[in-house]
This record gives sequence, structure tokens and C-alpha cells, in this order.
Amino acid sequence: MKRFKWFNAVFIVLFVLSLAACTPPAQPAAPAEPAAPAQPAAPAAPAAPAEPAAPGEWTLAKAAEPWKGETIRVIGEALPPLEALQELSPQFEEITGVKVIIEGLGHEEAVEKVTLDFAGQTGVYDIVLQPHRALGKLVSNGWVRPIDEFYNNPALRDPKFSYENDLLNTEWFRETCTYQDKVYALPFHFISMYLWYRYDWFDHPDEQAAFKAKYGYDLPSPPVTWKEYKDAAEFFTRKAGDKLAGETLANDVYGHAWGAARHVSSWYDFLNVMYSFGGRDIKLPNNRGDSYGEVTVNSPEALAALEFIISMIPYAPPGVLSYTWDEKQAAQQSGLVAMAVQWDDAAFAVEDPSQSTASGKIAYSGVPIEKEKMTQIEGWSYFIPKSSKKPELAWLYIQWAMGKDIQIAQMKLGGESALRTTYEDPEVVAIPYVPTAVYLKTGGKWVLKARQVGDPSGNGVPQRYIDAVNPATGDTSVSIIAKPTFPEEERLTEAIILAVNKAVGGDVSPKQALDDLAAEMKSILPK
Amino acid sequence: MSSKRYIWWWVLPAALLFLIIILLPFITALTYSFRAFSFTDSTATGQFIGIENYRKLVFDQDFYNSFKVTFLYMVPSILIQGALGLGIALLISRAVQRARILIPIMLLPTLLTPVVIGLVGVLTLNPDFGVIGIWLNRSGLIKEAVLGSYKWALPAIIAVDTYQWTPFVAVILTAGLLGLPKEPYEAAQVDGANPVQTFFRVTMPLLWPYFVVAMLIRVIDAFRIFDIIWVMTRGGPGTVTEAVAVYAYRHTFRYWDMGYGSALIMVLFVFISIMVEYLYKALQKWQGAGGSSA
Repeated sequence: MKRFKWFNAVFIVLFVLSLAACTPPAQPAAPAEPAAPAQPAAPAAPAAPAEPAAPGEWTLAKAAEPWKGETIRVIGEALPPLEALQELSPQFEEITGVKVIIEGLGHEEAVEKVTLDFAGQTGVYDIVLQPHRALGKLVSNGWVRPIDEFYNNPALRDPKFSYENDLLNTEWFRETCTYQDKVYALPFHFISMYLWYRYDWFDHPDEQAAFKAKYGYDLPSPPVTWKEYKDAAEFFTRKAGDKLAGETLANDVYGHAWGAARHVSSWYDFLNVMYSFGGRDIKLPNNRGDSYGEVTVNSPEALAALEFIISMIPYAPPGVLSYTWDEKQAAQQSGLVAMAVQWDDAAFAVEDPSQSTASGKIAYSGVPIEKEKMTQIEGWSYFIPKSSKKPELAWLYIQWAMGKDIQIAQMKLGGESALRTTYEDPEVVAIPYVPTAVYLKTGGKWVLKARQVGDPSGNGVPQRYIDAVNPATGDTSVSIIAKPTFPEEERLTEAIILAVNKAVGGDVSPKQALDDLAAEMKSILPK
Repeated sequence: MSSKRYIWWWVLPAALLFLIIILLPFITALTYSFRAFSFTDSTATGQFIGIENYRKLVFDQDFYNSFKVTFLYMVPSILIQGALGLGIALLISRAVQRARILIPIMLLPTLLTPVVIGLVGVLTLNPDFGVIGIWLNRSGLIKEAVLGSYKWALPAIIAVDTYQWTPFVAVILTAGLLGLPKEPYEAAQVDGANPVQTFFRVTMPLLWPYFVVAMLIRVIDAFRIFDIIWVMTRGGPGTVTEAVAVYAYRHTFRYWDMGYGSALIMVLFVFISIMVEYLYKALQKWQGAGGSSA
């Protein structure tokens, strides 16, 4: 009996210990391994040698002293910009003695995990990176702190740090980092979508001659209107055994790739076409995402856009109806398609020769034009959760990451800096997709480099696109289109994804899909 | 007397786990289902709204569609897995010694998480990059994207689910077959029964309890299918693969409508409970009535 008691006691102790082991770990799951970015000429910048600080001068090391030995946790989308930050974070660790853990997840998973973490007030994360459409939800539920409480604190603010006058675009910042005129975040990046095209095919003399013979006009390199895009897509859709740019194809090649699955990527793709066709899902007052407006998703322009998308399916790979942005990118990386409208935070991977057969063969232009030469605002931002137990330390990390040197180093590793000074670095300008990204994000005001047809590299904004007139403004500027950020936006996004998917899949007519969608969106929005 | 006291100590860990992992979330979800509670609707701050979520659910056509999808997936899945599992079990049980080696190998798909199995499905069925998808496309059998097709997306999910769970059914039935008594077979042989008669009159009645267990587990599992569908199609194209659990997940974790999502979960729970109870009794009754009277 005695032995039985002893055994019981041991069992209970073991059980309690095993329960303790099962409780949420103090640290989140191991951070995603960085995807060995082998970007040419992009070595991680070494940690800057610590300059001796004058007595009383603000230094990061001194400001972070109270947290020495602590850990901060960051969560974001597992893409090159986050992987770049991960690679640079040891510099922060070296200066401050603070350990940084970065967790990378898929786009939707990162949004979901953060929302659940906030709802549970677990305080696991000290910094969360979220897409700007989540702004309203984060603010209205009281989950994030305004940035001013740190920015205006002399003990925490580096006197040399000032982002306001260095932003690539203040309107972009307003949409991605502020809500109802209050700053709740700083930009992790500004991103947008633009046309990736195989310039080695478009600029090839044989292809140019063949196109002219077939369509009666010069092969547009790149297409700047949707009509040109459609012609080019049809033209480059070839069978295995056909010739393309002087070579015999081993497999079928397609004009373009599209994200048509029931996935958030189809929402972004639809918005691109709808905006450029002059349509809007919601007519946002003053182009502000935090303001409610009239639902116009079933306008003639939006309908024409959806019909156009459907008309492009024959020129896409057979799997297009199950494509998300991942398959779209894979199609470009494997040389399966001539064109795709893609995100610039994915461009790094397509330019990486270890991951892409199309590396060095792609040039970058804006989204084709119908009634508007435009780009959609998008960005992930650094938020400090109210549930964080180390908000000041989180701020110090964000401030460090927003510093000029780190921004440049991050850019070379796959980042998408929101700061103007980053793009004054010649090595950054030499990254193939950078001039187009900057051109679009500055509304067509800043041309770092123009690209002419026949240029031996894909670097530069195509001259055709620079010269293209914006029918909405009458000049060559690029309209910057905001998306809703109010709390209901995530439900609207899901509704649009489903409606577009049903129409593209042929379940309902485009008109029916958009009429039903308009009714649903009205039911979701506040009366 | 003292040994009775110890029984409570032994039960305590399981009871605590049940309380923490099952009972508390269940009660929380039940409470939410009577409240307006959403992170994406500033007017739904957790106030009590009675049965409003359940009333809304009654008129929700998409909810009914999700039930239809669940049955369209579940019925063929269970039937195929039952038939294939039985066939494999019969084959394996013939070679008793070798069966021991085969069982762990056969169980591999079942041991993998549905997410991994779903990813395998996505990667292999893609007509541009996947082995099976390319073959289907080039052979002309299916020219379109399997997972983007209104016609093929659900059969693809059934196929992947069958790939994962047939071994599970087969292993239960193999265990059953290997444990059957020899006497009834000897008696059947003495009576001059042929192999078909022996199978239907001896093997099946004896195996029936194992079959019932395997099918019940699969029905419960199939009814709450989520992972494979979410990874492969996210309920698409349209809502053609949007099963009840996917629909409930979407409302809870995409629309962030915790109140309505909880009501959906409650209905799912009640439905599964009733269905399992009914199915179990029906199968028992069938067995009692000499279900395999061939």
C-alpha cells in the first residue's frame, strides 16, 4: 500500500509537470527559416561599428538598457521583406542585448493568428505586422497603441529619427498607418502590384515581326492598355514544339497567369482590373479607406472588368482556376507565362537565379490602363499591441528597423522600403524592379530610371508606360487608389473573393455575381 | 474503501483535461451563440440577443448548402473507404505473418496530418506542376484545373480523403479478421459451405462489430472535415466544397463573427450527436436482424 501511495505521488507530480509543459510556450513556434535569398550583390550589411557616444547623447544601447537580456517577438508574412528583417535583426541584438524572435506565416494565417492573439490578450507578440486593411479592426477593438506615445517620448526617440519628411508617399502612409488621423503604425513596407513581363520575348526581333504581321501594330513592350495585354497574351500562348524568341519550346507556354482560386489573391487581382477600368467596390470619400461610401461594385465599369478577366482565361495555364499568387509566381519562375500582374514583395524571389529560370529576363511595368492609369495602395505595417508587456522595447526595435542603413540593407535583401532616402542608394536603384515600384508609389512623379525597348536589362520603368496618359487626369501621372480599412473590410473582402470566384468559374453570370455582391456588401456595412 | 478513493485520483487527470480542452471551450461557444459578438462589427460587442443567431441560421441558404456538400462528400467517402478497407483487410489477413510488416507501412497516410495530405493533393493535382494533374491534362481525361473545377473539386477531395483514411479502416478490419475464432470456420467447412457462403455467413457477422466501429469513427470524422478542404480548395470553387465545418470556420475566423460561428458549431455538434446515435442503433439493429443474411 505504501508503495502504491508513493507511485501515486510520483504520477501526480509528473502529470502536473506535463501539464506545465503543455501550456502555451513562452516562445512562439520556431521562426520560419529564411529562404536562403541568393540575390546577387546583396550581402547583409555588417553591423555598424558602435560610435562612441557623447555624454548625455541618445543611443540605442542606452535606451534599451533596461531590457537587456529580454526577448521581443515579431510576427508577419513569410516573404522576402520579413526574411530580410530576420537576417538583419542580429545587429539589433548585438547593440541592445535583446533577443529578437521573428515568426513568419502565410498572409491569411498571419492575420488570423494576430487577431486570435489579440482577442485572447495573450501578449505573446510585441510587434505585429499586419496588412493595412486590418487597421479598422485593430483600432476599433482597442488592440494597438498609437505611435505618438513613443515617438514623442525623448527617452525613447532617437533625435536623428524622423520619418515624416522622408516618406515615399504621404497618402500611402495615411492609408497604411493611420486611422481617423491618428498614427497607429509605421510602415514595414509600401507595396503594390505591377506587370511583370518577359522582356527577352517582348523585345525579340522575330516576335516583334510576327506580332506586327498578325495584329497590324508593333508588339507593345510592354502592353500599357488591357487591349494590348490581351493581344500579347493571345500572341504568346504557344504549344510545345512551337518557336518562341528563336527557341523551340519543350512545353506549352501561356500569355499570362492570374489568381483565380477562392483566395485573397483573386481579390487583389480583381481590384487591379476594376480600378483601371474606372470602377470601385466602394466610392471612398476623398480616397480615404477609413471612411464609408456608396457601394458601386456592380457598376458598368466593374462589370466590364470582371468580363475582361473571364475573357483572359483561355490565355492562362490550365491550372489557372486553382491559382493563388503562389502558383502565379511559380508560373513566372518556371518560364511558363509571358506576363503576370504581381506583387513587388515577391519580385525578389523571381529575380533569384537559384529559385527562378526567369531571373534576369523580366522587366516591370505598371498595371495596364483602360480608363485609369493607377496603382492600388497596399502595405504591411508595424503595430505595437496593447497586450505587449514591452511596448517601449518594441518601439526601439521598430525605430531601429526604420533607420536609413537598415532600410537600405533590408531593401537589398528583398525589402520594400517606404522611405525616400533608401532609393538614393545606387545599389538599390540597380535592383531590377525598384524603379517601377518607386515610380508607381510616387504617383508617377519619381523616375529613377527609364527603360527603352531593347535595353539589355529589365531595370527601369518602361518608357511606354511613363509616356502613357492617365485618362482619368489627362496627364501622365499615376492615380493612387485607396482600399477600405474600416472594421467591416475583412468581411467585404471575403464576399468579393467569393463573387469573383463564382463568376470566373462560370457558376453565375458576371452581372448576377456583382449584383448579388452589391446586395451583400450593403448588408454588411453599417446602415 | 481506500481503493475507491484512489480511483478519483486516477480519473482526475483525464477529468481535468476534459474540462480544459473540451468542456470549457464548449460552454464558451454555447454562450457566444446567444450573443452578438464580432470583431468586424462595431455594434456587435457581446450583447445577449437570445436565439437570434439560430433564427438567422434557419434562413441561411449557404448553411443548407454546406450541409448538402458535407453529405455529398461524406456518403461516397465512407462507402468507398469501407469497401476498399474491407478488401485490403481480407487480402492482408490471408498472409498473417506478412501482415504485421504491412500494417505500419499501410498506415503511413493515416499518420500524416490532413494538412500534409491536402498539400500533397494540391501539389500533385495541379495541371501545370503536379504529376497527376499533368498526366490527367495530357491524357485528355481532365483538361481543366481539378481543384478549380465545379465538376472535379469535390471528387478530388473525396479521393485524397480516401487515400488518407482507407488504411485506417483496413487496419481495424484486419485486426478484427486476425482475431476471429476458428471454430465457426471449421463448422462451416464441415457443413460444406463454399468461400462466398463462408464470407457472408461467418466472416461478415463476426466482423460486423469492427466494421461498425470503423464506420462510426469515419462518419464523425467525415462530418467535421475541415483541414483537407481548407488546404486544397478553401471551400471553392464557389461553395462547391464548402462543408459545414469550413462554413463555420469562415464565419468565425474570416468574418470574425464569433456569435454566429458559435451557433453553427452548436448545430453541428447536435447534428453529429443525433446522427451517430441513430446510425449506431440502426447498425446494431441490422446486425441483430442478421444483417448479412446472404
